[in-house]
Amino acid sequence: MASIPRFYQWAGWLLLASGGLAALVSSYFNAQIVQAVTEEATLLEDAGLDAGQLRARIVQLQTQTAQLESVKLTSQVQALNLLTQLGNRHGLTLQIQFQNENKDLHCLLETRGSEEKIWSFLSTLDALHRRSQGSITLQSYDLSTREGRVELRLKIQMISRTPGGAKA
Amino acid sequence: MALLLEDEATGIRSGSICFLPNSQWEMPATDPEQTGTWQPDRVGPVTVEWQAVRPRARGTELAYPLMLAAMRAIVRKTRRMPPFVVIVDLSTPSSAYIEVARIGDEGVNRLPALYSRSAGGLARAVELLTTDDSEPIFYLGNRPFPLGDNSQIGSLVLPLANHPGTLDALLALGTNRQTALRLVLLTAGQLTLVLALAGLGLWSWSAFQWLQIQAALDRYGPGLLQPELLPLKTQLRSAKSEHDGQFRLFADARKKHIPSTLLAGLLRRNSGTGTHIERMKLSGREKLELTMAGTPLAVLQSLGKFESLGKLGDLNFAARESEVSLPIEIELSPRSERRFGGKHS
Repeated sequence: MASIPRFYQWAGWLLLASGGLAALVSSYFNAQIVQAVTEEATLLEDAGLDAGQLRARIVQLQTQTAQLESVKLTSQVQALNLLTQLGNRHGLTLQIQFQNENKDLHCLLETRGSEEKIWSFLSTLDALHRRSQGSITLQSYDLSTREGRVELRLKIQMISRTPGGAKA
Repeated sequence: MALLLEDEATGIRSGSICFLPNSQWEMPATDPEQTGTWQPDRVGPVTVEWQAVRPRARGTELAYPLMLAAMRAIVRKTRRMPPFVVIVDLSTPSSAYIEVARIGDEGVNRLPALYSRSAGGLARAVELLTTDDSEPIFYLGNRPFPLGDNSQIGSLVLPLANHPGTLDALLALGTNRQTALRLVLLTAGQLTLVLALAGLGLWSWSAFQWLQIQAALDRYGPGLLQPELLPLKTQLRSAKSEHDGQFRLFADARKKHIPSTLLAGLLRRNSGTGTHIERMKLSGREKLELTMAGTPLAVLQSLGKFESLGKLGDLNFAARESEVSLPIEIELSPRSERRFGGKHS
């Protein structure tokens, strides 16, 4: 009679001790997992990649970044070249004034010509905007028509590699 | 009186604490003075509380548990081992009832109960029980000890209780009931149950944590715990933030862009035949300033179309000749602005 409860009590202690041990071990690993998961969660959609995938993703991102970097303008000189070439193609004489503003390079473009030439010049600038992925954007227009000639004042914003478009 | 097995009465054993609550008091072997034939007290709790204040029944069959309780109470209270004489006074105002007994090595030696509270009767009873003056006489009563005129017993008696409350508390101490309950938290069966439940709880908790670990590993793959991937991850993080910065820069710029094709389309759509735009100014996407010229009728028609684009500013319409020139300010409404700006991307 007395040995049965004693056995049960012994079994109870054993159960408690083993349970405590198991809980200790599992909570040790769980803590590590939780930490790793919170770290991993900062990677958002890239979470759970293995070494190869990680490297591929880094290369992909770096390529994209380099591509974006490459469509940035290097300097005011380059921008000036680009714009005057476009103007020449459409037979327009341009007056361009650059202005530094924080990170961006602004420029005020003035020209005059026939309506047809002006609009085709503008559509070329649109195409340039598309090709440059937004590196060159047209921000404001000021058109005035006088005796069949259109006078255009255009504000253009450019993203340059160095702040203000100055050579580093 | 209930007899409990040792396994039932024993709970958490912690050193010598168990001796008192379980009333397993034994003579310390090192004490040469105490050489009785005392055995561990294996008698469990006794029920005498109800007798202490209001004795419902009296007689021989109740005297033994009462004396047992009194003896334990005295031993605990005074730290004195038997032999001694015990007087338990359970008198009520209407009737007297006193139990007198000597407790010695051979057990409880009891006299018939006394039904009067006279000091002389008590003295006689004590004399019958013992002739040894060194044996102490303890009085446990629910009222003060009756002092007679010429009795010496009053000076010999050591009163331990003289009030129903104190008697009750003292006898309760001797019943092994309250102390046992306080110090023996759980019986062996309950303890086993608690241990098993706590153990199972811990096991299930750890199982739950293993499941969580498994789920995390399934979700993120084994790369989650590989420390050699950490530099790669850091590199990826910085590459991402750099890319995001560039991308946002370009996205912001793209958002500000006003495509000229859309502008041309807008003007062509809204200005009807017979009008032409003399001057047009658009900066940002909020405000369009136009100067429209043409025949008054055509200008008015176009004006109706332009009005649908947003809120018109104050108009200054002066039709003097066949040709009119009208400046218009339009605050572009968000709807048209969206149509205006949303197409280019």
